[in-house]
Amino acid sequence: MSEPIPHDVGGQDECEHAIIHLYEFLDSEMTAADEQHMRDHLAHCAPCLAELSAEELVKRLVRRSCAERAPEALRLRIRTALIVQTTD
Amino acid sequence: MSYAPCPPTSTSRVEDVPLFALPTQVTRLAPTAPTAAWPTVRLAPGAAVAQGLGSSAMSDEHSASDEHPVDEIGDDSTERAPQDESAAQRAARFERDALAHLDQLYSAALRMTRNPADAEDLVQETFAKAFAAFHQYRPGTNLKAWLYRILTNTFINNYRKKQREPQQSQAEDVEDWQIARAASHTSQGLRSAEVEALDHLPDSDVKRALASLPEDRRMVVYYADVEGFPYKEIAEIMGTPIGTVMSRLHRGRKQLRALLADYAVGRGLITAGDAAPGGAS
Repeated sequence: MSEPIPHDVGGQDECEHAIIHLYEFLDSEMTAADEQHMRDHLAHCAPCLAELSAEELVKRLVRRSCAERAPEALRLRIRTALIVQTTD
Repeated sequence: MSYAPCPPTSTSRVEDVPLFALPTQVTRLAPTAPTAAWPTVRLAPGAAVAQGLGSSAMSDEHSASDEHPVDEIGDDSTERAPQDESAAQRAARFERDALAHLDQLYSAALRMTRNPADAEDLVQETFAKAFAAFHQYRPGTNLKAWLYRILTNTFINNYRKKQREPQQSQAEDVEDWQIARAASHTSQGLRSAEVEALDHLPDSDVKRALASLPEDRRMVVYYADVEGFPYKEIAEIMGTPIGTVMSRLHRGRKQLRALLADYAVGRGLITAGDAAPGGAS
């Protein structure tokens, strides 16, 4: 994983900063210091926290919905092709 | 609790050393390094393309290989598997390590192609290419990401033209979505009741919403949310800068959320007046 780049909060409204970087927080792409900064803000800012829970939910929905199993016939075809490729 | 001294590990590792390329030799070799006397492996028809794909699959300089994988046939890096491994041993190792990711790759292929028949063909082709190039995969590196990169390349080269989807504009600059998001702070937020309503949407709605996103956004959302890949790995898989990944992720999630809110309204889970999802960009 890449080293996250620390954020310069100077000049930015706290909420503005939190919303812009919400996904980095959600996806664990922040430095430890920035993550703590975000937690501190979310702890006392209801609108930003609500925004985070909505995004968390959508992320969870996507993960829940995309868990297909490959058809057994496909697995068989791939294994057969493997054998052909090996002995060819 | 006491700690016993660790047994020396060097003796047990000696036998491994000649089997694997040394990291110091491997990591910084240019893709055009002279062809070494590696054992030649007979490849199935069409495997030459895959060889190029595989060898460049997770390299640092991947962007140039995206469009012209065939040019990479001469690529012969030292990132190799055990060189005295027999074909049967390699097949067994492939089946054990790579085929374990079949379900995930199939799920990703379904998102890419949006139909089961094409997804099956795409996955089968991906595994054929991956196996043909498997001797170039460096053990210990991220196999799943390597497979995803081959899947992505195969899709781009063989299937995307069938999708009849307009290409995304490349003008998605970072500042654009940052401004849009910052402005939407209070107006776009879903209230907790609405969030709960989204939770009751059936999986089919979520998949339908995903399928209607432009492909680049759809796949970034998929990689981040389903696979949990770090941005850097998504960037490597898709052959784009991290900034582009973040931009697509923002646009994709925003659009997805707006669509899901629409579906929730359509199903009567929330009333239209309550939903303020904001326009999908």
